[in-house]
Amino acid sequence: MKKKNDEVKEMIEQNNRLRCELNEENKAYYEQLLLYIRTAGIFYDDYEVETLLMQILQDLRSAQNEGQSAAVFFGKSPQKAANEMIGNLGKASKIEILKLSGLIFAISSFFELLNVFTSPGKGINFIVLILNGLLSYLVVILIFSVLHRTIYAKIFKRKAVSYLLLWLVCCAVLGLFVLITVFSPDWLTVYVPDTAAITIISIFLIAVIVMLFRRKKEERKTWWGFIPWICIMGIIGISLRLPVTKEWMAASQGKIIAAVSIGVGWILFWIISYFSMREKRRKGQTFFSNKP
Amino acid sequence: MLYIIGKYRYNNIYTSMLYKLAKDLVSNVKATQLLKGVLEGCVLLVVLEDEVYGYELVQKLKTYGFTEIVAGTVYPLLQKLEKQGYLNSMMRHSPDGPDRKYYRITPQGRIHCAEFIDQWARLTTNVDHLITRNGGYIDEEKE
Repeated sequence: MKKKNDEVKEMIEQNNRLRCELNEENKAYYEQLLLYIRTAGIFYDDYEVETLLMQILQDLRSAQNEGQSAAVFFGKSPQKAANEMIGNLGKASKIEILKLSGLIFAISSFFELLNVFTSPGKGINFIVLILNGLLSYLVVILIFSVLHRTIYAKIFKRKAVSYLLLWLVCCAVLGLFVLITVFSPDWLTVYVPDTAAITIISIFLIAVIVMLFRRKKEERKTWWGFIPWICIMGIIGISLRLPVTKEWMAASQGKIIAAVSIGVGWILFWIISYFSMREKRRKGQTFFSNKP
Repeated sequence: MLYIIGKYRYNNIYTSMLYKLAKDLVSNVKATQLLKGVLEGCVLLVVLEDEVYGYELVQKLKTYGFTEIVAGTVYPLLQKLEKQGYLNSMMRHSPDGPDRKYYRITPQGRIHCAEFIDQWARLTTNVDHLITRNGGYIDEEKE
């Protein structure tokens, strides 16, 4: 299982590299096809998807070497061909589906838990966690579906309309998350005692730092930005529960400082991420790259 | 005299009909079930000789007269044939980059191919019959 995952990762990297060999016209054609097939659904077998994409890429390279453009070689109806090929793809194994669902649930829960640990007197509401997980799952499917449909669709009459629509949808989604937090009943709430919370937060911080340094240098670059932010959140969480600083944090002065620190953490996140990703963007290694 | 002219006309019409059928077959993206089945059979016939990879297959089909064929038609076909068990695929190392997927025919594929040849023979016989029944004419002109 792990071997297949590594192979998939390698294929994606290879794909990124080989794609640069296509000329502009062919690259655009292929990347549309690539995105269309990748966003067809979240539950298709990754290995099959990437092998198929690699096959097509290699043949496009050969065609380009013979002087044939992608449109001539592949045909004028890439969407139709893609639909047929997608129809023949296999679904991911049960384990993969479970892993993916688990990942979505974990990420959505992370934010809720973060919330709990950095505000005084809150408990872990399992109903909120479950509902958040479900909503996140729907949002992921929604994002994939929208991306998928807009690749070969006609552009809206006015760009303004589509941006407005996007904004409305985002507001609706965020609103739903807020509603979940506000209106969920307290039935399944667990209140974490202070000392336990401090232990948990400390372990978490250490784990994050350890995980970061275990990654290879290249991967580390993407995650650098999170460190200051996570540390600040962790410190706030601990100081909210340490008997020494508890009272002070709950008071207005403490709250203001907490809010400002979180803001600073955000800013640092953006600054660091911008610089770390700059090199990656230059090499065209981001997911939606259009230029070599 | 009429017989000779008739036969000449018949040959011409027959070949032009066949040519049109072949052209439709390869250039018609909205291929009907019949046409798609024929293309499947042709792919199997090509793979019968030797194992191929995608690009190679498209080129081969072009040299065999399917000049308008595109990879967008061939790929789904290869996928489908592999799913049905008529083709087997394996990755082979290629000199100019990563491994390529090569397709070769399976025993079931050979059987399916033989069935296709059978069906095609029957089809062409029937169509020939219909044409000769009409005396090889498809227009109203009578000498």
